[in-house]
Amino acid sequence: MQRELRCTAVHYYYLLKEDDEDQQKIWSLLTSEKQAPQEPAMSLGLTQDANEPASRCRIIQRAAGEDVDYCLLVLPDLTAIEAIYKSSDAAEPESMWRELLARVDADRARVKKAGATIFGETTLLAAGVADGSDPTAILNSILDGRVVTSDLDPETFGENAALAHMLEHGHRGRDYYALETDNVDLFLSGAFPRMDAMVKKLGRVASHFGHQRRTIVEQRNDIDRQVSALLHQEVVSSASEATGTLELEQRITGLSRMFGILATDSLMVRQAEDRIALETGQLESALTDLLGVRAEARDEIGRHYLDVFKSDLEAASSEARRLDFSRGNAQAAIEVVRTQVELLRAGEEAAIQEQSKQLLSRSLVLQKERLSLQVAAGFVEFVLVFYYVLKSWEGIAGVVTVEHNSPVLLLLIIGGFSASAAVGTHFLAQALHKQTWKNLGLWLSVTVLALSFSAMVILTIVNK
Amino acid sequence: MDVIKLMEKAIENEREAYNMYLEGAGAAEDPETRSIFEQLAKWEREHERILLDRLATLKLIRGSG
Repeated sequence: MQRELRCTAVHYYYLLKEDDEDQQKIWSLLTSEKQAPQEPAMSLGLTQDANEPASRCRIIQRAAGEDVDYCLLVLPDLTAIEAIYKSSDAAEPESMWRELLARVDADRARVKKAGATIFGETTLLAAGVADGSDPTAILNSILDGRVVTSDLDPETFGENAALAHMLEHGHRGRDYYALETDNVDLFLSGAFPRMDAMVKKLGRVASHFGHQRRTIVEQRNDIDRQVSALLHQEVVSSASEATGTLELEQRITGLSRMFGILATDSLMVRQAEDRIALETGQLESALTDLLGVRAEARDEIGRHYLDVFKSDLEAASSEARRLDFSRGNAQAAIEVVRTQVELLRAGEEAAIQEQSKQLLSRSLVLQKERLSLQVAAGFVEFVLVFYYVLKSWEGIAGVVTVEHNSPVLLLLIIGGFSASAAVGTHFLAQALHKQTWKNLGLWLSVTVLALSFSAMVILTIVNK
Repeated sequence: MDVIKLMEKAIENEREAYNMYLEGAGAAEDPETRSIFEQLAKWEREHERILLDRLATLKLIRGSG
């Protein structure tokens, strides 16, 4: 199908693929009154390779009226509604362009009123190379901005075909292009929206990662400050001398947390870097398709966008390097504090060992003193038991009966009784403490005690 | 909570705030109060726009992974 080439204004509404409702809303709003549906079976794109469907731009719906056509396009990541406004041949070029732009803006106002979420918009003024209606000049006259121009591939778009882009014009979310080509069909519903959608998408993705990077930079600066202050405190200043192990361990926990944040941030920045690199590569390839690869050709548009996105890429790479450096610092700080903890622990261990040694020697002295006291107490106990056993025996059996025995035998019997009583007490205490009756000393003492007592009883009976 | 749901909730909050300030402006008894409410409503509209932009980008990034 050949479209009217003379003075055409095209407006693209880009939407997320998942925003079906908004897409239908805008489509119905634009096409409801005046257009009849047309055959959608048409697929355009510079890359005609069937194995590469993602790079294609497909028209899935069309509606045509007297002076405006609408196409619903499916792009790799977005959908686009393309509104093509045709001029009336009779009008003078500048007023014709202005009239076309007024129609674009009237439709935009209706769409805006419907409250749909639009991802991005582009207005393109297209004219045939030989028309002499200079769409770039009209862009210059209505917008205040810098124009960059690229020569289009002559094999695809005809001789002297060029695309101009208005930069820094202050219309947020809306781009302006001017086109001069003799093959407008292929350009409008195929190569151009594909490239434009890529630029818009990459612009938003780079901006999103830029915001993310700014937050990461703030976080990294904050961590760098904390790590630097801590290293200063630990290494240079003597203020940490009084710091205890517990406090240092808390510092290690804090530093480990910072290290974790830096590692996560680094991962995010690297993912962003990969993403921007991948999409910049895709854009570069789309631009090559559009503009061709001719050394003599102007390519200010491609250079501008590739410079912008490569600068984003460089910023991401540089931030990833800084994050690695900060992570290294945090790691070093952890090592410094850990070494301090180890030194402190070694000192504490030495002090504990010294204290243990002192306690041990004190305990040895006490043990010696306790032994002396035990011997003294045993001796006193022996004397007391000896005396009271003798007196008790004399009291019970009578002094004469007791004295009838030889003094050596008495000494042996009462001495044996007293000694076994004194020693037996010690063994009894030991058995009670250990909660076991398996104590040889105890049973020997009891035996001697029983034998001595039996001897006293037998001698009393015999002497009576 | 998923970040997309969180952002949708935030957008909803911005809209509610916008409507509230707009009602405030409508009910204002003096021009100064009305002007303050209108300024606040404008800010909420701008916040909503920023959030909508970020939400769309996030959906795009996640969608085309």
